Amino acid sequence: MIKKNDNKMHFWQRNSHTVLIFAFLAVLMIIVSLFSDSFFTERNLKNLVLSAFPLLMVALGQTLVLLTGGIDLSLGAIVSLTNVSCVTLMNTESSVGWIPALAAAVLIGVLCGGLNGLIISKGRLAPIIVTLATTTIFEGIALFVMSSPGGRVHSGFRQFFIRGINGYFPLIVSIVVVLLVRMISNQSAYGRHLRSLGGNETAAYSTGIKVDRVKLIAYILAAVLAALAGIYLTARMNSGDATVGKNYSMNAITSSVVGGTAMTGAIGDPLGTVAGVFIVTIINNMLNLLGASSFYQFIYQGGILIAALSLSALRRQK
Amino acid sequence: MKRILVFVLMLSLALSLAGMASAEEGYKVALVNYSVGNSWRAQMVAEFEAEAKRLQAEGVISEYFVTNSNDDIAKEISDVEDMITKGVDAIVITAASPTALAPVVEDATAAGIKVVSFDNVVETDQQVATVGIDEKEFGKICADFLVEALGGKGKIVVLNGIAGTATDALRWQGAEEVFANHPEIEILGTANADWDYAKGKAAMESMLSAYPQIDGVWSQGGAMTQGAIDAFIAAGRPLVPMSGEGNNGMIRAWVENRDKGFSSIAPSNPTYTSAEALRVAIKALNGEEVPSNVVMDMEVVTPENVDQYYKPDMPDSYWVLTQLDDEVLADLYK
Repeated sequence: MIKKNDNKMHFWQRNSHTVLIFAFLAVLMIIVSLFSDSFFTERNLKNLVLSAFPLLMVALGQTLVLLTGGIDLSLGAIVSLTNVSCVTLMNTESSVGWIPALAAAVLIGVLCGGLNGLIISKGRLAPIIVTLATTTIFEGIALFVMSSPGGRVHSGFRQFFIRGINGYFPLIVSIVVVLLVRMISNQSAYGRHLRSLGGNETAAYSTGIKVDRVKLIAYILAAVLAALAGIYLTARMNSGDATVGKNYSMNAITSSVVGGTAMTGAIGDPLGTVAGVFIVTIINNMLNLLGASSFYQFIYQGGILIAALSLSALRRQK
Repeated sequence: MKRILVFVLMLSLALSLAGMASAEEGYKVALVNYSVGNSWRAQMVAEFEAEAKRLQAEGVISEYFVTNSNDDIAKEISDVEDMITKGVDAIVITAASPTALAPVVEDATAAGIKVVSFDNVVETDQQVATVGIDEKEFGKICADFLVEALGGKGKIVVLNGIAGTATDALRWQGAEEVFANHPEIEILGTANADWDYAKGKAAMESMLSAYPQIDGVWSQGGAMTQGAIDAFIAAGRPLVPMSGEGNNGMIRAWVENRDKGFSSIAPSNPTYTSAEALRVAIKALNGEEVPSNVVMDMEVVTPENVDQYYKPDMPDSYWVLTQLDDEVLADLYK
């Protein structure tokens, strides 16, 4: 699908799905606002960003891995592990007590992603199996580090992460990370390697791309993004919990695919993933605001997701 | 063309939702729940809804909402935020994590919402109250029963719940204090069977082969007691007094085996804790004084009243300590 003359393609051809999925998101938001006065309030929009942040980080990471034609089921477990590590290592007495904790969380992310990437690339094993196995390892370590939820979080760190810059800090970080990830995947040489790997690994190898290294870096980047989610949840929950991340792996795959990333690799845009994340998040938000019965919520959620997914299916039929 | 169809599909989904919104006089209240994964939790939600409908008919509340986060901590935090956005007057909450929900509950309180937590309570003092039974009392009632049934003398084994949970520790603490005063009650062995039928049965099987004489079983969960009864029957050993809990399956085993030497007692964490939490929240909204820790009266199934509680036509998963009427129950367990 990705040709060398990619750049010469018209804007619409290159971005048709991303534009469509944002249109879908916009329609969804307009419909909700028609029925709920509270939707387009500053408070609710800020809440949406706060709710979406961890999923956004994990989904961007998942998108990078999906582009290589791989998958990472362990990202949720990495969220949990970095969350409990961050809380455990935090010194609440010292004013800079949060710095080592954050550094450690990022380092743990690098190590987890590195482990995934090494086993997958050097071992030539299926990513879905490898990351399923490492999920239980990471979850196990997380439970070992903190067997029951709790811990104390540095209050200055917490205040700044959630409420800093008039409460816009999470939004600013989101924008920076999205732009960075998009630069990596769409504008860098590494991004081209990533996609050619997902398109045809053998062909990529024979054109001289260091396949193993490209894969390794993709899994490390994804894990570091998951670590960011873990750090953020530390601030948001003001505590650690070894089970907090378990739903993120699947939701991240859903968001990426809704946003137009192909499970088969090569095709996808982090911007589409952003829309996917907000569609998933807004569905929850709107069902709560509209007062849908909790038993029907998951049915509606599934229905709307299928509608969003059929957009990508239709594109492929063309 | 097909894309237009997709949009139409979505529009109709959203329109069908819109019918649910309405506004009248009275308080807006919400139940923020983290799971409907077992019968206790499903019945607990039904108890809340029944009480909310009753209060709605009286004009006390105008609307009620129920959220469920499917064991997802982050979604439950967002659920609370959505309820703050909706401008509810009160939230009753059972939390997926006692600590992780604390910040958002504090936000709700700061926004003027009366928050009451129950079942799995939130660890913060910035809420109106926590509501629940005295778990130590639960353990004590079970131990008192066993001491009396055995005449203050005998060899017993212990089935505990999930190690590390507060409920498990408190129930056993209550029992231990009783047994400390009765030195002639000998505790042969203790197992953590996680309130689970299969684990309770397996634990009892190994204890039965290890100890030739067991005079009684102190169990802190109905499903474990059911497992223990089945293990005794399978081993061909005569049944002995065992403490239990108020789920219909355990009560059924009790009633069916009471002429074979079995006797029991069943205190419970009733499913109507959610309704009680709602009543406490309404009290707070009406400006009444509410204690910060509301301890509910313990309703206990005893050998004398067990026939009033037992419902032969209901499934094992039904919880007998309920305020729901038969019609709602039949609908819930259909």
